Amino acid sequence: MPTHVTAVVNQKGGAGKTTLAMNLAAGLSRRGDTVVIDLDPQGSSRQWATLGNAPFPATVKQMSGKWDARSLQKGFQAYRYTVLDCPPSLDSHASLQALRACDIALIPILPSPVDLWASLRLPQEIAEARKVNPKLRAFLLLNQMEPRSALSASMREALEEFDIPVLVAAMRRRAVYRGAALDGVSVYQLGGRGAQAAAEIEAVINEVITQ
Amino acid sequence: MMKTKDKLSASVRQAKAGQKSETDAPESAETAKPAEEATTTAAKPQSAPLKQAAPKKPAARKPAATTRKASTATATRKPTVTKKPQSGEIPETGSALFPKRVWPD
Repeated sequence: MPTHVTAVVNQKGGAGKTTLAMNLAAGLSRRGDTVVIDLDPQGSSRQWATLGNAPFPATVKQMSGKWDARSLQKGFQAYRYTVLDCPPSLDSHASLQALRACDIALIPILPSPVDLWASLRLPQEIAEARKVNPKLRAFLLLNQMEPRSALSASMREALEEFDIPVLVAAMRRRAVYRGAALDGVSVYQLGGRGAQAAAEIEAVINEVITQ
Repeated sequence: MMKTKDKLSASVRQAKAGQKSETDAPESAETAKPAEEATTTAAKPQSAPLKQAAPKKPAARKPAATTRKASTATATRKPTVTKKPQSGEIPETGSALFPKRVWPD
């Protein structure tokens, strides 16, 4: 059975790609063997996984150089789920190949006009990738949502301008996400402290990956 | 006063339109080109004297090089021929006063 590939992409830095990728992988690892491929030269995912006292629930590997969708499928077929943590650039080889290789592209986006403007090129890139990868499904995921903020409340409507569907599931702005990174664990491993965040990640998984 | 929701949506639409016009620009090259050409043709007269002066340099240098070669063949002509291209080259580079001030020393 081929590995199910989820790419976490956004050309904007600081959108929460690594946070989503790592916690998503932790959630998926409860369903089957999962690997996170760190495609970002910054190596944040790898750093995250090496910090914890307990082993991270998913395998984390760094990949650089030239590769394509076929070599990815071949190299990680032992895993049920593969999560690609992409660099903050749509022009990089890694991001382009990730969009061609994945089943699902998850695009975390912050409730900020600057982030919206910076992400306007995404629909075009997704359409381009679909020419090579027709099975590709892409979703925007609202991240760092603040329920009392007017901007957060306005996001869904503003995202209608994009031709990419927005997930019903969203991630709130929570210190526990950053705390998990610092401890080198996922929000699932933080017990009650991370329960609400883990529920958000579960909602994402249930909405798009396992359905 | 506009609501945040409307403001945000409007800003996205505006950014999107800006992006579209950027990508459409090469397609509507027919309309863009005349404007560009107009600016380049308008700019040409200003730079034209400079451009006219520039071709003179290689034209002057080439004969100088050939005369140098010729001068090496004939030893007697050496001093006179080599001095001429030097004096010919210097004014063209725009430092005509420089040798007059330096060489007498």
